[in-house]
This record gives sequence, C-alpha cells and structure tokens, in this order.
Amino acid sequence: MSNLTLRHPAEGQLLRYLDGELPRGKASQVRSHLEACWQCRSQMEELQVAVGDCVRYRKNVLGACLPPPPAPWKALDFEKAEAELAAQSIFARLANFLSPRRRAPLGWAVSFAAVVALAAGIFQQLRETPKVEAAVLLKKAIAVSQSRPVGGRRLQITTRTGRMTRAIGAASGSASFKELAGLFQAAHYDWNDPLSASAFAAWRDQLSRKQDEVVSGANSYDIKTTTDDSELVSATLTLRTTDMDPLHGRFEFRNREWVEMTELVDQQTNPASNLAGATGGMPRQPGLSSGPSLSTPAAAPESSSFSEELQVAAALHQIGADLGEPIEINREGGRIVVSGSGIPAQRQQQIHGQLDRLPHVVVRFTDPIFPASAPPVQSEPATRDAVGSEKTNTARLEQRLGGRPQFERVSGQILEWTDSAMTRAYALRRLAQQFSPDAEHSMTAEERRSLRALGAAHLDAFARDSQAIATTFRPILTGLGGSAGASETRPDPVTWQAASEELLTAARRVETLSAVVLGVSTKSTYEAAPSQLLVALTQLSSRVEQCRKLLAEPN
Amino acid sequence: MSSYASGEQFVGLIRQEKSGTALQEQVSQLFEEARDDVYRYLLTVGLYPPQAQEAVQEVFLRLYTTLRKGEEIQNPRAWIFRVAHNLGLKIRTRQHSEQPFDPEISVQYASQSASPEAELLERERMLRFHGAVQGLSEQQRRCLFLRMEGLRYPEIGSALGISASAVGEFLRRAMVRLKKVRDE
Repeated sequence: MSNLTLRHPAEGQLLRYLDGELPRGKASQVRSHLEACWQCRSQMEELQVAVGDCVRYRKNVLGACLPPPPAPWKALDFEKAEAELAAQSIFARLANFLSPRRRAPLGWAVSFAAVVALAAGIFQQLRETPKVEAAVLLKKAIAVSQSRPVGGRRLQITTRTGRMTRAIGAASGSASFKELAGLFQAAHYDWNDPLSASAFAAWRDQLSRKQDEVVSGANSYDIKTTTDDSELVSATLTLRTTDMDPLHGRFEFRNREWVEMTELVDQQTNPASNLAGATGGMPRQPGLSSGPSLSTPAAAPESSSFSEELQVAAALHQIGADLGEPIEINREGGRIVVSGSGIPAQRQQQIHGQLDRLPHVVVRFTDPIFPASAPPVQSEPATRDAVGSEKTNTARLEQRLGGRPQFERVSGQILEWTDSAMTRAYALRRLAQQFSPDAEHSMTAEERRSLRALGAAHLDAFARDSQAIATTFRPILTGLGGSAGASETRPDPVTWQAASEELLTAARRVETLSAVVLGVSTKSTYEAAPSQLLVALTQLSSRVEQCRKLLAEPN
Repeated sequence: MSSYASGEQFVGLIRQEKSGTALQEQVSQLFEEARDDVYRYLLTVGLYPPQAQEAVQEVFLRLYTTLRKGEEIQNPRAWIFRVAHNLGLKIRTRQHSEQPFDPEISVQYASQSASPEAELLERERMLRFHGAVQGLSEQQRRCLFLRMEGLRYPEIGSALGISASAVGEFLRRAMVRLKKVRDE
C-alpha cells in the first residue's frame, strides 16, 4: 500500500472523496484511511454537516427568501423554436450547397445569383404568410449577406444636426462619428456595421422586452423593433425584397436623438469580382479593416489579408473568446478558418454570431458538443498533497496574516487575480504569435493601431491584476523575511511580440511561486520562495512597462 | 418545487427524438421540474426577477432546439445550468443598472423546527451561514451554488470555464469557511 495512508488526506481530498470526484485508486486509499483514522472521520463528519447546512440553506433560505417569479409560468413557445429551426435548416442546407469548399468551381458569382433567387422565392413565401416573424426574416437576411462577397460599403448618415458619409471599416476619427459611435455603443448596437441585418439582429436578440412590426412594401419591407429595454428605443431596418440587402435604417434613441442611414451605391464596386485579396477588395463587414487601402491598391492584397485575420481577432475579443478558449485562427488559401473543439453549444452560437457576418471566414467546431456527465478524473491535481511541509508553511503565513480566515481571504483573492492575469498573459502572447512583427510591418497604419489596441487591452487588464497581486503580496512577503535581491538581467525585447513572451515567462514564475508561498503547491522549496517571489514581482512589473512602451511605439 | 435529486431522473430521459411532439412533452416536463431551480440560480447570478424568468424560458427552448437538431445531451440538468449560467452573465452585463440584483435576505427564514427555541437557533445559524456565503469570493460562491444544484466538478468547471481541479480547490476553500459557522 502506498505510504499515503500513513498521512492524513488533505481536506480538499476529503471533500472530493465525499463528492465522488476522486479517481478510484485514490478513493479506496482514502476509504481505508478513514476506516482507521478517527481524526479524519470526524473531520469528514464536520464536512458532512457543512454540506447539510448548504442543503438547508438552499431550501429554507434561498427557497423562501428569494422573490418568486413575477408572473405565472407560461408554457414554452415551441412554435417559435420550430420556426427558427426551419429557417436555420433551409439556410444550413443552402450554405452547405453553396459552400466554397465543396463548390469551388462554381465560384461566388453563381452562389450569389442562387442566393438572390432563393431570397426572392422566400420573400414570395413570406408574403403569403400572414404572420411574418421579424426574427426569421433577419436570420434569412444574415444568411444571404454571408454569401454575398461585396466590397467596401459607404453609408450616408443623417442626424438631427447634419449629414455625413462613412466608409464601413474605415477609421472614424471625426468627433461627430465618435459621438455617434458612443450613442450606438451605449445601446449595445454594433457601430462597426450598423446598417446590417446581423447588427440589427444582435441588438434585437439582447432585448428582453420588445415589439416587432414587419411592413411589406412594393420592393422592400421594413422591420421595426421598439423596446424600452435599451438606449436605442426604436430601430427600423429596410431590406430589399429581391436580395434582402439592407437599404436603409432609422434609429431612435431614448435621449430623442435619431440617426438615419442609407447605403450609397459605389459605381466602382463590382460584387462578383470583389473577392478576398483582390485589389481594392474591402471586406463588407468592418471592424478594423483599413479604409485608406482603397486608394493605395499596391498595398491592398497583403494588408487585406491581415485585415481579415485582425477582424476575426477583434470580433472574438469583443465576446471575450480570446481568453484561453480552445479556438484557433488559421489562414487556408483565401479563407480564414476559425476552429474550436469542445466549445459548449451556446458559446458556439455566440462565436457564430460574431464571425458569420465576416467575409471568407469559416467556423468549424469539432468534438461532441456535450462531454459525458462526469468524466473520470484521471490525474490528481497537485494541490495540497504534501501535507506535512505545507502545514508549517501556511501556518507561518496564517500567523502573519492574523489567522486562518484572513489567510483564506487573501489567498483566495490572490488565486483569482492570478487566474485572471494568466488568462490575459496567454491572450496577449497568442495575439503576438498570430501577428508577427513582419506581418505587422505589412499592415496599414490603421490596422496596426487596431492590433495594438487589442494588445493594450489585454495588457491593461493584466497590469491591473498583477498590480493587485503585488500590492497585496509585498508586505506579506517582507513580513515573512523575504527580500528583493537583484533580479537576473535579460536582454530587453525590441518588439512588443517578444515582450509579451517575456511577460508570460515572468507571469508564470509569479504564478508558480505564489502557489508555493500559499501552500497550494509544494513543487519547490519554500524557504527561498518569499524572496524569489519578491524578485519575480519586480521583474513582472518591469516587463509590463516594457511591453506597454513597445505597444505604444510605432514599429 | 423540485429537488436536485431529479437530476438523476433526467439522465437517460432524453434521447434523440426526431418527432417534435414527443420531445416537446419531455422538455415541458423538464421545464416544470427544474424551472424554479434555474430561476433561483439566475437570481443568485444577479439577474432581476423578470429577466430571470424570461431567461429560464429561453434556456429550455434552447434545450429543445438543440435536441431537435439531433444532438445528444448526456446530462440535461448540467447542460441547463451551464447554459443558464452563461446566459445569465450575458444578460447581467447589459443590465442597465450596473448593480446586480442583490436581494435582502434577512428574517424571513421559514423553518419547520420542532420548538421555538430550536427554530430561533436554526434561524440565527442560517443567517450566519448566509453571511459566510456572502463573504465567499465570487468564484467560490459560483462553484458552491452550482454544486448545490447537483453539478459535478467537471460540469461546474465547464460552466465557469475553469478546470475541475480548480473547482475542487474553490469548493474546499468555501467549505472551510462555511464549516466555521458552526463553531462561531
């Protein structure tokens, strides 16, 4: 029998045992130990009592004190779900049929024509349907827009105070644009491509209370959604009947401001020939693409290709999907393939929602959507196994902090900050790997700015967490006798990409040493850990500064 | 009100059903059994009651459409809570007031204790317990609430986007604090 039975199992192990979360071998060791050990058995009983308290708390406190549902429960609206499913299935089949992967020789022109024809057909059907669902209509418009490789679009924007033109995807630096952008952002309406079915649908989907109205005109129909759930209280999107192209939009805000948008037809744009990478080809959907590239055709093909990847990165960033989820962005020929595995269904939908509107982007998810309910625990986490040494270390720390509760609070907090900081450090490094200095060099100035803004967002979040860790830890470590000696000197990185690598290395070191000091891990010797951690914290903060400086510098 | 023991009954209840009507009946049954639990969980996430109630409907409709597409769900209860959790956070981030819903839980404790003394004691203990729950870190509390709903560590991890071992660690920390309520 393993010598583990000579030691008392850690409390975490007892809880995992109680919850049936220990691997079989380990569970039987704990069971044998419990049979022999009164002390652990009574500890286990205490845990059981706390579990019982939780159950009573859930039933008697939460159950009795939380407010009941404000309205009687309504039956589930399966009809609506079926209507949405039907719409999805038509378009899934269509998308499959028209997929460039399978029908490459057909080319986009044929696909586009087919979609237009189908859209017209659907419209006829819808016309005959008395109850036209705005949601279904929008879904169809989104599906059609995905199959439409149109180049850059320009919008004429009219507000109460004036009229202006905006190129979708171009930088909108003017003050009036910023003001408008703020208005739309406050309403959670995507300002990047406001006159689009996807932006409209994304805003509409967020509303918990809304009223839809669909009016069919001679050549178009209007979808009007009103709500008191958003700063944007009413929005109307006019779609052309033949191809479901959004022609016009009217947006009314709570503060009585209103904005109207009309798509301007660009004579130079030829939808059928405007494929990815083609000269002057501007993505239909925006984000961070460069407007000026239109006027500099020589730089267009390359900048366009990075622009698309950058858009994907930015779109994922918007929904926080660049923070450690198993999602890869790769370029395969003319397409950007975003692949993910083991992503929950709901998250997949969100990611589709963000990416499906981008041109030439293929999203692929693999793995069964739902893992088995309780996969067997294969490996034992390296927490709190070496009970003996850990006890003395944490005891010292507890004493420093004034007791076990204080220790628990501080260590819990540090653990969370570390988790959050590491997520950011990895995200930043990933961005650096995706966009190398060479790649960045061939980008337009605007694209570079966008890329660095993404990087800076991660760095800022990282800096906040790491600062909190340092501020909390420093006095504790000094109290434990730690002293910050000289840190090792490494050559300074010259690009932010290299700096992000250094940052990650420094952050990992802090993470490892924090775990040692807090007694979560016993991988290295404890005695030197406080001093080492102090050094590591100093080094980390200088890495943050380096990275920040390099991100701010033009390359 | 259902209890989380019904999670066991859920397992194996749902199979891929091509016929919509049979599936609708099954989902409706699940909805009736678990809607109060999901609703309450969404309140603890910080949703206001009307939003929470609407979100519950949406979760179950998503369950229906997912199954209707022929996808298999091994443990519907875990699935439901995972979807509810993520949807709840999404709704909470766009709530107009930045303030999440935080109900006053104080004296309305409803107990069925035998004697008034025992009831008083239990009430005080539960109030202290509530204080301790409020004092847990966000992650600890989330792990605890999902565990209370009968989810396993990997399922909780999958809902919160953390590893099962991190769930174990957060729960351990939570239990250490909650155990102390008895000693106070």
